[in-house]
Amino acid sequence: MKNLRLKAARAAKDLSQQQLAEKVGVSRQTINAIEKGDYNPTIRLCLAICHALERTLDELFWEEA
Amino acid sequence: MEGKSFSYMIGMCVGIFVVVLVLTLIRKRRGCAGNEYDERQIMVRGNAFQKAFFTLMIYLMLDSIVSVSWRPWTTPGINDILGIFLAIGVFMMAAIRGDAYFSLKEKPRTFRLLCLIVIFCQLPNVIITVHSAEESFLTNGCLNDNCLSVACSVLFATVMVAITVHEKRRAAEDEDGEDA
Repeated sequence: MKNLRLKAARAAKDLSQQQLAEKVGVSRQTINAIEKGDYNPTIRLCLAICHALERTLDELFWEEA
Repeated sequence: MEGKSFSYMIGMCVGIFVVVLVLTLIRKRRGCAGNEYDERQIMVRGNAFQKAFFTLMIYLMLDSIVSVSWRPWTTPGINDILGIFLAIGVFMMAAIRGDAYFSLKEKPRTFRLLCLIVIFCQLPNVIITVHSAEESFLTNGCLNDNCLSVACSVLFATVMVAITVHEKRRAAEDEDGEDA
């Protein structure tokens, strides 16, 4: 499932995938895969992304049942 | 490998040593730290290793079946080296496809240059074998060590093309707004 919230949060911060990738220490393709829903990141990477985008885990990654 | 002189083997080892040395110096000069892969890349590389391993297993099984039920198709040892080439090729292709071949700091351009150098180094042997009356790719109807130059060139040329195609595709994705 696509993670549109992550994409929106990144856009709100005016960051490209490359810039966010550099901030959290992964490749651009990994950020792209997370946004497309092709890759489930570990909690460690989720936290790094949340810190970089100044959002909470719930805001970016929680899925309502 | 029979018939090759000791100096031939020494020359081959020196060649490998020089390539490794040059690459190490380039890496040091550019201040490259150790290879760093992110968590997704490590996972993709793990899958690529698995694919390469099973490819090698299947190849060795088929090779044994052909050798036992028909006859050896290569001179001793060459079939194993060809299998290793095949497995390396499978690993590289799977890793390149999953954007996990290069670490976060590595540049594909340097690797493409290395591929070109390897292909260029193999070409003299291929040309000599093709044009020589004494040398050939076959010994008693079996592929001999001369075919390794061709196999090596094909492997690196394929990898080079795969990297180039993948890079182009990635560039196109970037232009399309980062794969919306």
